Amino acid sequence: MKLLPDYLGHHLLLTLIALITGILVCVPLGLLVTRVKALQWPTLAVASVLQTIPGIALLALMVPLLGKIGLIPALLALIIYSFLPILRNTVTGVLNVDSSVVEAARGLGMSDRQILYKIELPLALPVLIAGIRTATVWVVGTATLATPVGATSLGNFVFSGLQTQNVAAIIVGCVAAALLAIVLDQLVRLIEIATSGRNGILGAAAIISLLLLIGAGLSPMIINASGSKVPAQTIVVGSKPFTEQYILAQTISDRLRESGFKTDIRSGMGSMVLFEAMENGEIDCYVDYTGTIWSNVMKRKDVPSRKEVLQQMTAWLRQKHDILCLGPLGFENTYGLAVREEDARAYRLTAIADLTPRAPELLIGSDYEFFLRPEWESLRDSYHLDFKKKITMDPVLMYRAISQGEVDVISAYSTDGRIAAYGLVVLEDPRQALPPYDAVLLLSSHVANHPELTEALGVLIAGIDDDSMRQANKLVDLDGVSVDSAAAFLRNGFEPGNF
Amino acid sequence: MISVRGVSKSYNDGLTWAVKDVSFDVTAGEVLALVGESGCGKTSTLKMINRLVELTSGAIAVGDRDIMSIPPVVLRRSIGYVIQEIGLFPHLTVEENIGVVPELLGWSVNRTKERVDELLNLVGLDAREYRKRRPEELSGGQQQRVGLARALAGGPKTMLMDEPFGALDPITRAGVVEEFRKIQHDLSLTVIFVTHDMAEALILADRIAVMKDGSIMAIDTPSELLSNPGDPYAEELLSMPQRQAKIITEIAKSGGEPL
Ligand SMILES: Nc1ncnc2c1ncn2[C@@H]1O[C@H](COP(=O)(O)OP(=O)(O)OP(=O)(O)O)[C@@H](O)[C@H]1O
Ligand SMILES: [Mg+2]
Repeated sequence: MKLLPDYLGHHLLLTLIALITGILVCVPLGLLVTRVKALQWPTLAVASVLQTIPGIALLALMVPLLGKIGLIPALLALIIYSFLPILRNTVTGVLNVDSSVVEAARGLGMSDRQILYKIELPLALPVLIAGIRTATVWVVGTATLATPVGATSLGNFVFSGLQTQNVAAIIVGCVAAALLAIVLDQLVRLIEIATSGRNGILGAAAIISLLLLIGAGLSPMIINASGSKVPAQTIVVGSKPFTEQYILAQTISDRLRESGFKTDIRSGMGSMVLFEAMENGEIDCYVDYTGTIWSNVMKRKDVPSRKEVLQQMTAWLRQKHDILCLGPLGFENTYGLAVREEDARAYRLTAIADLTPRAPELLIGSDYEFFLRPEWESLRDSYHLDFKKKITMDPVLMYRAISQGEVDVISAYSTDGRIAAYGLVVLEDPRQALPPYDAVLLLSSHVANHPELTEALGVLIAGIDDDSMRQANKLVDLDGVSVDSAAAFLRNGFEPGNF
Repeated sequence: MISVRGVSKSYNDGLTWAVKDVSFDVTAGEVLALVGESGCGKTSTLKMINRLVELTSGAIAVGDRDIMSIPPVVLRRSIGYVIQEIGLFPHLTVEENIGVVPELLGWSVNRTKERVDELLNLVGLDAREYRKRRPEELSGGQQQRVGLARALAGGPKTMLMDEPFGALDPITRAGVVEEFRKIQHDLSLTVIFVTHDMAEALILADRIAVMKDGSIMAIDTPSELLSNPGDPYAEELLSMPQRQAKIITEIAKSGGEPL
């Protein structure tokens, strides 16, 4: 809840910038299109096609297109999303103006410009405003999806709430977004009533409230900016979209704040997005896993020893990407295939190879990334796995799905407390199809040479063992404890009463 | 005052001709009626005079100046224009509708306001009552009066009117026509108006031009055209009110029995 002003402010800012840009682009474009009839069809067709791209897809597309994460790709996607309603309503609004009225205006001696400003625009205004209102509601809604591309919004409540099973956070995010949509929509309506009725007081009131809203939206950021202590630099901590990562990001952030740094957490980003963001210097610090980098970034197919992988990866990151691997955190979180305990017993499943003959009858469920990753290819080829069906789902839902029999095998993380809680067995990988997955702390080049920072984070190196991590994950996933408390638990060891 | 010389109009690069080689003169203070069946080119002829439609060939002069030498916007502000659809601006009040041309001409607020009151009284509407109304709050006849006032607002010497009294019931129409006749006379306006109503043309016009298929078949004073039309089409068209009057008299005599 303490994050509400911050998230709401970012959300408001994102929405308003997108809408204002959308209006500035589309109203003139729409007017142009009403004059140059040949452009009308192509322009509206392009806008319509862009509109059919789902919001989340458009947002995702912006990341590789711009080679950036954060505010810019999110804004661009939202601006594009506002195009169709504004453009279409500008065009229909102007074209629907009674032609005899326009002819009368011309006959009285108005110039084209005067006809536009004095006749066509005022008469098209209600339709145009309706378009802006539609765009407002769409953009507020779509902005909640900006979280995975690294832009802060009310979506942060929703996404992290989903991962950490925090229903309250999800509801706060939804309600705040809905209220924001209603308030902005009504403000635009007020401005319309004020302009069409020439009600100066009403118009002033609407505009003042809009400005107040913008001010309120910006104030947390301004306060943040002005209240900063030494050192002034804000360390941006990234996280992938699952519980362990949320906890680790929080742990890192807490640690840095204790040492006087200002931090900002960008949570819920995809693996590759995160890696690229670090390379671009948009993320300063995050936790990755040796095997993930090994297979996905270095594209290595061989699997040497744990130590070897760590060493080669550290050297490679330093040389090729100027990223510092500060060291392993001490625990390993391997990808593994898990089955229900009773199945393991009934069919004598201990290693992945035991699955091979049964695979054609089994359903496998996994997170969004797994089937696209080289590790899956390697597993599949090493063990000749040919499942009846592959089902992609949110990690949160995987465990429920397997325990309820909707799928038979899932790709599980070994540190996940839910493996034990849901009575699952992780199958062994004797052929070493999967690399080791030691959690490592990565730092971008421009914080790597910061001795106070490396010192502050040094405490974490080799400071978290498998069991602690599994416990912390379980606290959030199964016991409903907040991420903050789980992070505190990780740092303080097994002292009860910390949460 | 207005001189039209050998004017033709084609909307499709010479494939068909809406107006063919039309010539006529209208002297200052004169009222000319353009009559003829639908599609014969009346509106096109009218719109070429204020350049709402550009002529294809020929020449038109208004007040001794070739219209092609005057910027269209300036030309139009000096000519009152009334269209059949009235075309009042729905988002403006009666006062603002009438004030459009004065505003375009850069008049002061006070002068415009006085002018609006004067014109509302001229067209028979109480200024205090109607000034602040929106077009939608007026009857069809009241709208047409406001349309007329709007066209007169800049004090033009010339008026172009396309079926200005259409869409009115006969009683209201007779009233508005009568009023317009007075206004025209008082301001000694030069007027070209289009009408489908032969009686209206005969009553209001100093001269009548009968058009057919883009050409003028006959042009003369009402009395001359009635007594000596010189063209079978013109004769048929102009004798219409008389023939109708005869039929009506006979119906009355027959005591309501169908003929
Ligand atoms: N903008 C245009 N483009 C193409 N053809 C046109 C255009 N305006 C008029 N025409 C054609 O020119 C001819 C004359 O039209 P005009 O409007 O001058 O007739 P009118 O005598 O005013 O008819 P009405 O009594 O029905 O108003 C018609 O055949 C019409 O179809
Ligand atoms: Mg016509």
